[in-house]
Amino acid sequence: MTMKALRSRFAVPFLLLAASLFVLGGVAEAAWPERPVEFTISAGVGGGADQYARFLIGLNVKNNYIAQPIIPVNKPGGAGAVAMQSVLGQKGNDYQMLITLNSFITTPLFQNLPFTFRDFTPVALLALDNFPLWVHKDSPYKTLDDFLKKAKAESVTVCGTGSKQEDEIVFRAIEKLAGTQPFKYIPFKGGGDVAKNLVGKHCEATVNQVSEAGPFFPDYLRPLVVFQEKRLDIPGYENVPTGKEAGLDFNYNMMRAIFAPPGMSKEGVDGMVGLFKKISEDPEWIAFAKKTGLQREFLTGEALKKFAEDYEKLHIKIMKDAGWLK
Amino acid sequence: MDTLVHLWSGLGVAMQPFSLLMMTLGLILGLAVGVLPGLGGTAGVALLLPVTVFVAPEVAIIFLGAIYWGALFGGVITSVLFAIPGEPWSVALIFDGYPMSKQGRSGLALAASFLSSFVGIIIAAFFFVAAALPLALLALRFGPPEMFAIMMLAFSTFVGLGTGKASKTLVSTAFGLLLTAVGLDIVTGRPRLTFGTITWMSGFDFVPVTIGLFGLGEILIDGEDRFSAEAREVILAKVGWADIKEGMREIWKFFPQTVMASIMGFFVGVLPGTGATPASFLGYGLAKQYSKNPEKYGKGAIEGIIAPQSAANAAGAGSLLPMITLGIPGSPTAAVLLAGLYMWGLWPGPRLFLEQPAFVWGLIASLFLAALVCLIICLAFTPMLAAIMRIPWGLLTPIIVVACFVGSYVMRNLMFDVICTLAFGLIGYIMKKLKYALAPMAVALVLGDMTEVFLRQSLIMSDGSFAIFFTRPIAAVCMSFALLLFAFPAFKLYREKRKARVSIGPG
Repeated sequence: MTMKALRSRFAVPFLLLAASLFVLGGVAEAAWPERPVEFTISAGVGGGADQYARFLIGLNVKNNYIAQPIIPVNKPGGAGAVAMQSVLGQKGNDYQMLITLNSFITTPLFQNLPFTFRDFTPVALLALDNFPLWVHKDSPYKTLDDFLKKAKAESVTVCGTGSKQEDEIVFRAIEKLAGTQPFKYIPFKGGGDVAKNLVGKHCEATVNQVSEAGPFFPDYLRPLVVFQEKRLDIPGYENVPTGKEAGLDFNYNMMRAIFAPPGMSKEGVDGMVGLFKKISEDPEWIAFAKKTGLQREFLTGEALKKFAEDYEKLHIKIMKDAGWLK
Repeated sequence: MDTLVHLWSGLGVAMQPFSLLMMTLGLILGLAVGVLPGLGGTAGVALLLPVTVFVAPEVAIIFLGAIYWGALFGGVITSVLFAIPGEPWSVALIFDGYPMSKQGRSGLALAASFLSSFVGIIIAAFFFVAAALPLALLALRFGPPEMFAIMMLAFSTFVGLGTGKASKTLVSTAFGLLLTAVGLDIVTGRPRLTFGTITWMSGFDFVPVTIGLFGLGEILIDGEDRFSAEAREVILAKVGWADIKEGMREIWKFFPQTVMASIMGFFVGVLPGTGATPASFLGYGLAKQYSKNPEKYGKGAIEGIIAPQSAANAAGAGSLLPMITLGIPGSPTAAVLLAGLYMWGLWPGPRLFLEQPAFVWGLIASLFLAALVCLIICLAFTPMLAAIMRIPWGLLTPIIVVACFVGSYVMRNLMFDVICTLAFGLIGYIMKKLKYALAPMAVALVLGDMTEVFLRQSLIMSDGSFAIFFTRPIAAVCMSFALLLFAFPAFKLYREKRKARVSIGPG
C-alpha cells in the first residue's frame, strides 16, 4: 500500500477522532507537537549528557507534558561537534532539540568550527551544575589551602573528563589564579571513570560533579571546596566552603541547557519552551536537582543568549590564559 | 550465611509472577535486539528505560537486566549464520561459528554458543553472590597502567591468530590500529586524521566497520563462489534436536576451559570501562593459546565458540557488579542502568547494598532465573534458526544486505557509518582475496583505542617512564605474562628452525 493510499484511508477516521478530541477537550491545544520530537545527545548511550537527557525524557513519559514521544538520538564524537553540526543542518525543523554542556561554547572555539552557539535557537537553561574539588578521604589535604600549598611546591596529578574541556579548564584556571605548578592532568572518557580513579587513588584530585562523585562521599571521598557563588544546598555538604570563602575567588558551572536548530517557527520555539518550563517545575526534577546540588535556573530567549555570550567571554579568557587560543 | 538469606529473599522478589512475566518479556525483547545488527543490548536497554517508570524499581531492574541477558545470548545468532556481528562482543564468534555454518553445522554452533552463554552467566552469578563488594574494591586498584597491562595480555594472545603470513597479519593489525587513530584525540583534544572535516571527528566505529568487513565481504565472496564455473554443491544445514545433545556433550568435554574462560571473562567485565567485547577476544585468544590443536581454530573449531561466548556473557554480568556495589558503570549498558537508578529515585553507590536489599538481591537472583529461561527459549528455537540457512541464497542475501546497512546506521545515527559499511565491505572482499586475515584487524580495531588511551594516561602519570608498568605489582604481573606470551611464538619458531637445521644439516 502506498503512503498516499494509507493516508486517505485513515484520513476520515483520524479527522473525526481529532474533532471529537477537540470538542471533548474544550480548549484548542497548540498545534506543536504534531509528531515525535528528536532529542540529539552529544554523548554515547550511557554518557553524562545522555543520562540527563533520558532522565528528562522519563519525566515526559510519566507526566505527558507533550502528547508526542521524545526520541533520544545519540550522536557522539568530536566533543559535541558531530551533534552540533547535525542539529545546525536541520534549519527550520521544529522537531529537533539538542542537550548542551559547556562544550557547546568551548568546542567551536577550540576546534575552530565554522559555527558558534549564536547560530542556534536558544530554548532553555534548566540548571547550573557544580564543580567541587574532591580528594580521597585518606589524603592529607583537609582544606583548599593544604591542597594549594602542595600544588605550589610540586606538580600534582589530577584527573578529569576529556581534554581541553570543562574539568581541565577548572584545573588550568586554578593554576593561573593560585600560581601553582602545572597540574599533571590525566584525561578520561567519562565522569564515572574519573571518580573511580580517585577512589582507587590513581590521582590526587578531581572536579567531578556531585552527581558523579557524590555516591562516594563520605565513605571514600571528601569535597574541599565548591567553585560557585553559593554553597551546595545538599544535606551533608553544608560545611563545604565556596571558592571565595576558601580564598580562591573563582566560580565555574556546567550549563545544562537546551538549544534547537536555527529558523524555527514561533510555534515550535514556544512549544519547546513550554515543555521545559513544565519539566523545570516537575517535583521529581526538583528532587533530583536537590540531591545532586544542581542550581535550578530557568532562562529562555534573549536572557539565555546573553548568558551564553557571557559564558563565551569567560571561556575565551581562561582558554587564552592557558595558551589554547591565540 | 547472611548472603544466603539475602539471596533467598531476592529469589522471593524475582519469583513473583509479575517479575517473572517482565523478565521473560525482557528476555524476548533482548533476543530480538541482539539479533538485529547494530541495535545492541545497550540501545535496547536505553530504549525501554522510560517505560520502566511505571513499575517498581526491583521489577524494572529485572526487566532491563533481562533485555541485556537476552542481547548477550542473541547477539551470536547472526554472527554464526551470516558472519554479521549482532553485537560488538559477538565478533569473535564469527571466527569459528561462521565456518561451522558453512559446513552445515549451524545448529551445533548455535546450541554450543547458547549453552556456553548459560554457563558464563551462571558462573558470574555465583561470584556476585560470593564476593560482590570485595571484588568491586579490588577492581578499583586497576588504574591506567594495570589496564594497559591487561590490554597487552589480550594482544599477546592474538600473536598467532592470523593463519597466513606473519607479515600480512602485521599489515592487517596495523590497518586496524590506524583506523582507531582517526577522530578526536582524547589526550590532546585535537583532531587526528580528520582531513579538516567535522564528520570524521566522530572516528570509525567498530560496529559498521566489522559489519562491512565480515558481513558484506562474506556475501561478495559467497556470490562470486556461487556463480563461478565450478558450481559446487551447497551443503544444507542439518536441522534437528540432535545438535543440542551434541552441543551439551561438547561443553562437557571442554568444561574446564569453559569455566576458566567464564572466570577470566567475569574479572575483565568487573574492571570499569571495558565490558564484554575485550573479554570475548581474550577468551578466544587464550583458548587458542592453550589448545592442543590450535590449527583447528578459524576453520570451525567448537572450542572457538565456547570460550569467547562464555567469557563475553560472564563479563556482561560482571560489568554490572561495580555498578551495583559502587555506582561505577563497568560498561555502557551498566551506565544506562545507572541512569535508570536515578529515574527510579534510587541513589547508586556503596550504600545501595545496605539500603535497598530487595532491589540488589532481586537482580542477582534474577540472573540465575533469566539464564535458565533464556537458555530454554534459545534452545527451543535453535532448529528453526538453523533452518534459516536453507532459505535460497537469492532470497536471503538481499535481506541480509538491508539488515547490514540498517544496523550500521542505528548505532550512531550517522550516514557516515553506512558509507563505512559499504567501503569496508569492498575492503574486506579485497583483503580476503589477497589472503590478509581479517581477525587481527578486528581485534586491533576494538582494543586499539582503549589501549592507546591507557598507555598515554600511564605515561602522563609517570612523566614518560615505562617503568610504571613494572613497579606496580598488578601491572607487573600482567605485563610479564604478556611479554612471555609475545616471546613464545618467536621462541617456538627458533626451536623448530634449529631442529630442522639439525635434522637436515650437514652430517
